[in-house]
Amino acid sequence: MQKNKTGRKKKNKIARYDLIFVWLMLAWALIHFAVFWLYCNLNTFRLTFFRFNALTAKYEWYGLTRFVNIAKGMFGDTDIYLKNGLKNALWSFPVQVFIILPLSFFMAFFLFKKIPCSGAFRVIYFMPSILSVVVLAMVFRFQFNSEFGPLDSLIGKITGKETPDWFSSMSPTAMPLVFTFGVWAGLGYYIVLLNGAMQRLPQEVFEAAKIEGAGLWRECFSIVLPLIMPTYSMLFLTGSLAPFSYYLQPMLLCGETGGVNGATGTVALRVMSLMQGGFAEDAAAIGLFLSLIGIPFVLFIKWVLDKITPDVTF
Amino acid sequence: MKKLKWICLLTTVLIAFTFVMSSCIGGGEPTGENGELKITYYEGGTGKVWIETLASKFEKETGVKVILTADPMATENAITLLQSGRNLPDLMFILQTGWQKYVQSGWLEELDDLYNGTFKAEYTVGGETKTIGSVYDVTGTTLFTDSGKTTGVNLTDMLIDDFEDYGYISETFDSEPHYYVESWTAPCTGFVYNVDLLKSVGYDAPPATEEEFRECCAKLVENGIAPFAWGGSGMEIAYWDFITETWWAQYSGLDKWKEFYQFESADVYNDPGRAAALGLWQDLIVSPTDGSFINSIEKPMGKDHNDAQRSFVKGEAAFTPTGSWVETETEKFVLPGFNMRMMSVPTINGAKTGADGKPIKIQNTSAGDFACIPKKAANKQAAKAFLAFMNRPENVEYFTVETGIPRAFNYTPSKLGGISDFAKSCFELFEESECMYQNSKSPLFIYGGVERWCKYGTNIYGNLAGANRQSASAIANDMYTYAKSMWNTWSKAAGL
Repeated sequence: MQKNKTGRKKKNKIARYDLIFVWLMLAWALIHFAVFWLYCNLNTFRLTFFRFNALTAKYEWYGLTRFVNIAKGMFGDTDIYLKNGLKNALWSFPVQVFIILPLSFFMAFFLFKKIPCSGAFRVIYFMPSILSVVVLAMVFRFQFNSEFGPLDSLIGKITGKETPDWFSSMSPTAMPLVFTFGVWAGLGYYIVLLNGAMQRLPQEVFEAAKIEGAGLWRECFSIVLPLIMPTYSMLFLTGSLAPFSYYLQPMLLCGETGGVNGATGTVALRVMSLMQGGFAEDAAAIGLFLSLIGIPFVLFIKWVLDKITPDVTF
Repeated sequence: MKKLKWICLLTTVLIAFTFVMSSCIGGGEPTGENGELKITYYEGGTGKVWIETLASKFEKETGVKVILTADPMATENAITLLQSGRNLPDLMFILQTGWQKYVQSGWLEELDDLYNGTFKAEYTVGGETKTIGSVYDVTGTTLFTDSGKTTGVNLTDMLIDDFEDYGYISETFDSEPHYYVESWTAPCTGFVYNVDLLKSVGYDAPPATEEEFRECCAKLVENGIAPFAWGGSGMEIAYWDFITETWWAQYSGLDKWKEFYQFESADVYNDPGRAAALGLWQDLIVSPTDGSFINSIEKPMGKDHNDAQRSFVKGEAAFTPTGSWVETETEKFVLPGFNMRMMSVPTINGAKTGADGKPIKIQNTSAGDFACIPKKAANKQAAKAFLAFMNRPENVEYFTVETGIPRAFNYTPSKLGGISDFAKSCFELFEESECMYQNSKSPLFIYGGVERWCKYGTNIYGNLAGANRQSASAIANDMYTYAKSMWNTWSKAAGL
């Protein structure tokens, strides 16, 4: 009896220590979440409804005025920067999920099928992902430099016409080039993830398909794509967030101001320039406004993807 | 398993400890004989030699170790640094920005004693005590050559009238005003011209009037030379503001231009000088037929100010809109023998004239760059001592000679020895002209974010060009209409 009591006590003690250990381990993550996510976001949320009164040096209630102004700016004519910024940002969605992602899938598939020189291609495609985007943007801009850019010179020679001012916000070539750069610089990341997913697929499936006489395209669309759909869906979902965070590429290629009438700006770039200009409350309000639009949009995409994604794991 | 738990626990505690300890870095007491002074400065057109030299002299005189941090993004980073209050420098030199909000947020240290001459700091170096104060002796310098003052002057006496109260505001509406920042530079801005290119088309002196200027541009184009090197890829397009604002001030008069920035009502936007200035820019730069850029280097909108400056010093254009910092910024790639000067912005037709019937010579400056001391800085005393040291007449003059940029002091920098011909041309304009200093105390300007080109901002030049361009008068009227419609919103945003 005594032995049982001592045993239970010991067990309780161990359980208590385990509990303390678990809570200590959790505490770090919880504190981090509470301080750097919850507090920051709640404070940001609160700030959007207040304004700094210069006369009293205090924040005071500002209501929904900022949100009304943002809505007017985005969908009306009062803020051309924001309006064009939204338009450009929205373009990043199809570019990301309907151009970069499918292209990456094909590249990854051909690398997976070990086409000749696949090792070299792997390095070529992945190289941009390990270099700084700033360096990549400089290299890309250099190609179109009017004095010594090889691509600018080549296009000039082929067309026999004066080449445009490629990255000028007044030129129609600026944003298409920004997206082209996004494709070039963004392929590697997706290829690595998709290729990784393909590598995990069981070889037996392919052997069986081969016996059944499946060709390369059949293998690609009927076997590989459905089997890696969870990874593809996840990338599609993260790609659909692009409109809300797309700013680095246009900033590095066309300048930090977003150009004339925001022709090369995005909403995220506007948020950044507002922050740098000391208009943190306005920046926070745009962020929150975007979240209000973005959350249902992303949830909808997730819902659609969940419907069409087969439940497979490897 | 138990061992693993302990390792996890220990790691967590170590991470937490490191995190907590790292938070404390930068907030400690000054170290060394007389402490340490951390200075962060904007790395740009002023270069870094001036501050390295002054820091070294200051170290010798005070024994305070000076740690310099050059940051091309110092202005943009200032707000984050001050807000966080961590790893703060003791002294910051940054470009013009909304520092008034820093004051209202309680982030900046008062500088009253520095301005009124009561600041004094004593330092012991090698057993000898030295004093740095803010009362100055200007004997033997070119400062105050006109006023005749020599000794016992303080900072407010030495600064030009327009900038005497630049840093003087209240933290809150009902509190006493104090000095919080000190003006750092007062660069001359306008057109810089290539002397040899102008000579090649028959101009020994730069054009002085609008007619002469148009004629000169035409001659340059005839000779296959682009008149203007400029870049429009980012904020650089705003370099044109140096020119258009000068034309505006010439046309409307300096007082009216100053009145504009007090933003008494929306009617300040109803100023014909604004349309006249923008109209002249449009005439010179934009093709009336298709809206493309004329009189300019190739593809200017895709170029930044460095590209434009490079084109200019390569002799591809005769003029470039810029400031006195251009000499420092181009020194690395300028060819030997390149001859450039700053010129007075040609007088716009219809400009106001003086009592002698001649147009008033007006010089634009961008004297808003400033120095400030964070309230939570570890060594505020040394920071003030450095500013007092830097304000010594010989050091003001040294700064000017080294950087080619004047400060907002009452002096005649053109008389200084050792300056380049380019710097001399800038200083002569600075001295001969009525200077434009944008020093607004209006809450609309400071807190309301109200701009000179409201609704358009730097887009204004883009909207004056291109296939869908508007006329200057249409844009000027549109800005006035917009200002009237937004006035209440702006006032509310400014806390009025």
